[in-house]
Amino acid sequence: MKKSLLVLTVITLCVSFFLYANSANSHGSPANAEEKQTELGSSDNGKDVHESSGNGKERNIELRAKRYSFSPSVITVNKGDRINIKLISMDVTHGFFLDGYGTEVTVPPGDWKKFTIEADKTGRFTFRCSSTCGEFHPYMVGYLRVLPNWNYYSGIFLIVILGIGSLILTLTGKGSPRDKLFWVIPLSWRFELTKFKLVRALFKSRWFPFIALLINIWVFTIILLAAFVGGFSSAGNYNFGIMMVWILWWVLLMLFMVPFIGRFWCMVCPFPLFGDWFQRGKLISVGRQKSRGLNKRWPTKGRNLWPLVILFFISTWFSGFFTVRPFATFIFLSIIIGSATIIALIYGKRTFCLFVCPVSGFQGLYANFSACEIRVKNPDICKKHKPKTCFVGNEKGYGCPWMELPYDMNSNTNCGMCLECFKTCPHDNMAFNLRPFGTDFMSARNPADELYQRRGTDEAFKALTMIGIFLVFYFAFQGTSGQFKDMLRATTLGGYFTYIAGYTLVNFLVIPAVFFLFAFLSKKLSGDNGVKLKEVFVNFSYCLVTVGVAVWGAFSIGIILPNGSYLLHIFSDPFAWGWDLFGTADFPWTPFLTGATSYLQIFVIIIGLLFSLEYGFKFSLQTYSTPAEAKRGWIPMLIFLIGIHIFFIWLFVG
Amino acid sequence: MAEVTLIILQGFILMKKHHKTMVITMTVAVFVSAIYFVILYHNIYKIPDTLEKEEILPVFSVDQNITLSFNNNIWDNIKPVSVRLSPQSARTAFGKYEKKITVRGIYNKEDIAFLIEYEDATESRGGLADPDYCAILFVPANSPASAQMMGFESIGNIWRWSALRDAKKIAIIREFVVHGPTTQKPMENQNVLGQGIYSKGGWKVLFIRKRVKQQKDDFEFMPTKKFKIAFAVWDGEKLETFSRKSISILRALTLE
Amino acid sequence: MRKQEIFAVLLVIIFPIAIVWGAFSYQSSLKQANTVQLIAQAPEKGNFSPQTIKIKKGKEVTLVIRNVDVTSHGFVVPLLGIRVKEIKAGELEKVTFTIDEEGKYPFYCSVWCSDYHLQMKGTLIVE
Repeated sequence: MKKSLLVLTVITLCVSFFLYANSANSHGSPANAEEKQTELGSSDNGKDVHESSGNGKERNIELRAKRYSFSPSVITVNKGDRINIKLISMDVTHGFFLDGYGTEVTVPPGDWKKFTIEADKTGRFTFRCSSTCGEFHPYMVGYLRVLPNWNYYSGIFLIVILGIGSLILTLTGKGSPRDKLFWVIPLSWRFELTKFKLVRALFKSRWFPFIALLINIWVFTIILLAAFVGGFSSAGNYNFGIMMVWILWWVLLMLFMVPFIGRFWCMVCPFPLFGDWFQRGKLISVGRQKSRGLNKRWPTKGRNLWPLVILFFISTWFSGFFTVRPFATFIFLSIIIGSATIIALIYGKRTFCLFVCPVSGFQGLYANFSACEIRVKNPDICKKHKPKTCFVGNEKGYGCPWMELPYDMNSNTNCGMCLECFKTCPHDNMAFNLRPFGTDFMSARNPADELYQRRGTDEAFKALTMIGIFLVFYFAFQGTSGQFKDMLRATTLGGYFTYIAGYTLVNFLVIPAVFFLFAFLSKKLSGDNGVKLKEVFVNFSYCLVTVGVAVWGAFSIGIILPNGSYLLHIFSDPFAWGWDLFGTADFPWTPFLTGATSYLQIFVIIIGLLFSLEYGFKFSLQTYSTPAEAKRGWIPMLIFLIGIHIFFIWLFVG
Repeated sequence: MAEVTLIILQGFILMKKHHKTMVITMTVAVFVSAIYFVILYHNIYKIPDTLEKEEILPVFSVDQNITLSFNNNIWDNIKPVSVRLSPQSARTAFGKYEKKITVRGIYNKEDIAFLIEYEDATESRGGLADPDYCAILFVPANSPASAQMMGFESIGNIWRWSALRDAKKIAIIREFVVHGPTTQKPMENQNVLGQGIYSKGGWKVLFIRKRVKQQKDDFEFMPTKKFKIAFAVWDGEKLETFSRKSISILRALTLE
Repeated sequence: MRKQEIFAVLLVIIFPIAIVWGAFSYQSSLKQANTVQLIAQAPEKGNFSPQTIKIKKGKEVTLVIRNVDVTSHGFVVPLLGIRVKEIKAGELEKVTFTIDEEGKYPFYCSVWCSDYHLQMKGTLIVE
């Protein structure tokens, strides 16, 4: 208890500092946009800085907007400055909207508008184009940094304090015990949702999750139709397909589904439906247990995450296309549905879901972090039960389509939550549990243990590449470099291939090499000569799972808050045909709570840090032979984690 | 260091392990991606036939000297080209939507000249209303399409005639170098001569310059160098200034 | 279970077809008599489509201009003084008019929408 009190005190201190620093901001008057068209366009060249009356300087900035960036893309001023912006459009109509301040201005092509901003709030605020100017319009942004950037400093301060605090606690042996999370939550805590009769009845019905799948089929029909009629160059933000898949679904996946309910999407995913139907001969009732078709078995050498690492990575090469062009999404989704069906004809059961579906890789790995699981309640019942109907199936349901052994399952990685095992178990021995975050990381490591869970370089590289992919997505969709976006969109072939080459190198060489260096330092410092370096590398890479969950979550916040309002439009006018089904078609673009983006992102990153510190040391204890070695070996890794979290804070709010 | 290479290569070795399925899957994946990319690239970046073929503005060779006078008959045999102008930003309802100007271009060994004629209801030379202006934009022929906007993402030369300066007979035509909207900078030396007269409800404006390159940013009008040309007109009566103007499409300029 | 199976199959097959069919029929039901659909795209993506619109003289016509592009477009028929306010990307505007004189009237895009904006035009033919 004393330790938890200590931790609580530290956290309270940090939070109070944070709040105090931010209360130093006067919440000044909102939108201060005066449009002035001057009669003489004589040159205000660049940034003139004059003294002005009042407590800040006058800053004059010529802000040039072109597709898809601003120049200068980052403006840094001090609190109290008066920023006079001359917004010039270099090609088509552009606009300017400042998060947190609410200023909104539109400028016609080749024209300019002057307006003033009183920089009375500190922090980093994104300004974005507010008039649809092209397909990458939602991602045309720049940053206004008003110093001193208290959010940024507090974020770094928090990270350093938490890191040092955590280090001191672990080194003095007062760290969180092996079987507890944050000193208080037992890793073995479970709350069984299926103990409620209604829930269990639902899970045992053959209509569940089929009914959710059905609704998804209908929604995807609309998505595919909208993406199809959208063509290559209709506005993505007004297209049902683009908005639902790349804004709504992606954000829900990264912010809610994966962190909290693991592979929930796989439960309701409509893509394997046709494959399943063909293999089983029946849609909802129980047909053949053995898949129709060639029913091959995916080769052993490929029964790992490597195919998924590569396939997901390759699909992200096209992120500059399918996220903004409806027909590109149509082709992409069709390829996935097509492959799902074709693979189901050749291979048995959910081979596609396990080894080919691009989304499956990170869902499986990140589901280890989630707060839900499906496990047996009482393993003794399973020991006496023959045959194992959860694996071979019976008249009530199919044998695990994910080719897992439900009676023996100890991690979420390959469980697609299809709920067949609930239906086939005659003893109702399967349970859907709520649990503490990340308990799967601790699954038994000794191959001799009953619940041994393999760890391998494939999963390590999945965790690593997800970070690299995040970085590229960040620069593409929330970054300010127009040149980078041009390369991503293949405005020139040379630029595109340079981008692909660099992207691949960073993901498969640079980032793993950096991580490898720290793993190497960890082993050296620990003094443990018996442990394999590969084991150190792989074990610690699971810290990057919690980091990944956090940064992708923070990224999603930055996507949904500015662009979520388009959803109201597309519900009323899904195909951009001029409909108004629910009366919301005229709902204007309304960024929502964008002033809070920085706070939310810092919060999520700090949560990620706490988990990665917590589990990181537990990994250290698992890897090294003695606690003393584990403590020493932990230090380089802790430094690495602190370092990358500072980097992420800089990226998001610095 | 052997450990370093080993682990990083381990990933690639696993992939290269000669297994039919993995090789086939990866080949199919790369193949499908390549096709996907080709479809996307082709559809996004192709320029369809609905785009007009470039109209050409021919500049004709003459033997005589080119002077600032409107009275000589040097222009009589030159076929005029009709150029359509439309407003750059038609949000503010100003002026007549469409304007038509006629352009004649001539050159001799030393000089190149343009005669622009167009209708204008009022002769505005400053005062209560804004003055009338007329301008020519040149960009190199290999500039990207964005150069339509005052040479954006390229470089441009603008020769601008001002009715107000014309009345004062000082610096009648100003020469600028541009790199896009609002980037105009007057050239060090102002080498374009010209004048304008208002008669019968319209302007006649003459621009003359030496063909050779005379300073850092200006253009040289030789047969080897290809350019595109565009025109702009401001009707001062309607308070047209800066971006409120009528402009033409960029078209190829050829020395016949 | 058989009945349920059939029911499930029907739901999977019929609803998607119904959705697609419903979308298209709702869309055509919106087309009233005397309306003409015009699609506005930047010239390098297709220009106005169709390029020529034929209407009868003396008859009232509603032109529905749909912007399927990613930048704003406009519509103006200078010789007839018809103009439509800025049509933002993904939206549409309607304009109703009656023309009594035969002839060919060019129409243009009135909002700078692309590097080739000045080529964005079509012809309205009244006969």
